[in-house]
Amino acid sequence: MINRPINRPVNQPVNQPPFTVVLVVPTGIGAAIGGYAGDALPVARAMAQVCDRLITHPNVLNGAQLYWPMINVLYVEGYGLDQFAAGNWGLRPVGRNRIGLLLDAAIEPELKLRHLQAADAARATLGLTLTDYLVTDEPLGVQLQTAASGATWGTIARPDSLLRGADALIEQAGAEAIAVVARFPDDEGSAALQDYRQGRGVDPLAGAEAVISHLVVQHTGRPCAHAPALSPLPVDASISPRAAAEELGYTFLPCVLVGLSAAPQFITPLDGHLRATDLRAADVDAVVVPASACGGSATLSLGHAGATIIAVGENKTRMAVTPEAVGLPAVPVESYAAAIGVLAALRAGVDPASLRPYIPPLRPLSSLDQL
Amino acid sequence: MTALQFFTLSVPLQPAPTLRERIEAALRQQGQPLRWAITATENGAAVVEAVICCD
Repeated sequence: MINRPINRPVNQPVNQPPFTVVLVVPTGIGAAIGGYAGDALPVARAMAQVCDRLITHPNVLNGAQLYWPMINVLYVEGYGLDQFAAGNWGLRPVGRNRIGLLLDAAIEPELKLRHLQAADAARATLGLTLTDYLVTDEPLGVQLQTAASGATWGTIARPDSLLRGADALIEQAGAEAIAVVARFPDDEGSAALQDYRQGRGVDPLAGAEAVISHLVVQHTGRPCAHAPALSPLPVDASISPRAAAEELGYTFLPCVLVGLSAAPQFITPLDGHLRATDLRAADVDAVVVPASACGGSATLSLGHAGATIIAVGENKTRMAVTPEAVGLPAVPVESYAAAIGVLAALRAGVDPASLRPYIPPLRPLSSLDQL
Repeated sequence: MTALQFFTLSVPLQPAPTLRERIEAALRQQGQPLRWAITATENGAAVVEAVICCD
């Protein structure tokens, strides 16, 4: 990898720390925006214009064969984001990662070839660096589940094979980030898949994908992201635009490779001290999260550490956890457009409350006990 | 060999600054927490859904 600092924009005063925002749209909870095929990416693109550093995760940035790399956006897998937010790990921006591609032994030969060609295309067309690839020593055995809340999750029968493969890519091939492609069950015709493709259900694959990448990051401390291998679906004229990015080809791998190619490295306690250019949880100024999904580890950690929580009302999810329910002070907004306005105000040092028509007068403190 | 298990548990909603730590402490009694979230709050408690690594 090549280490690099995040560039300071020209309008950033030299004595002001970079304005750092975390955008969270949890995966597999039916988020109206970001619950489908990279459909929170427009939010990230707009938000990146009003902050110096935007930290977000693959569910936001991955649009199958669509992606939009941005110099001030950090692609951080969910387990690593939780550890970063808790203050356990730091983030070290890099200019390039060597990506190791790990393919599930359950992938059929033709589908495997499609993925290898996608990886070769990323090398030849985008100039990305990949190590030689590896096939797991056992089929991973992905199983999909849905929890009582409506969130999706999943298991793999052979996590040991997944982790052996990741270790081998790192230790033998020198991989600095791991792209995993696991064979997921084809559930063509299922109601869950039909709802998802219509843009109204919960992504049936998302929870299991998160489990796979979380396992690799927990075990290796390296960036990881996952793309499912699936048989192509028949053409359907009624696909929602929010899900359409996954109808474009044979693999969902390109966005994963692009994201991992410049994903920050995790700095764990075993790696030693953080550098001045590394990011710490204390660097985060604000977190933008769906208003009904404030019960995640990263949001709780950063909110309790003093970051401003901006809770977006119209991004409905299957969760029912408001900021108030978990004791987090928050700035409620209806839309991401309003959230971006709040961020612009915070970055400028303007109290967002002063943008409203009514500003209550100052009140005297009733007692010194309030100090 | 590591195995993955799904758990649902309830954690009292006490003063907020320690909520995450208390959830993770409760999960660690089952194994190594991998992915979790509070999915609802009811009767003064947080309902937590979690995937845990167990040996």
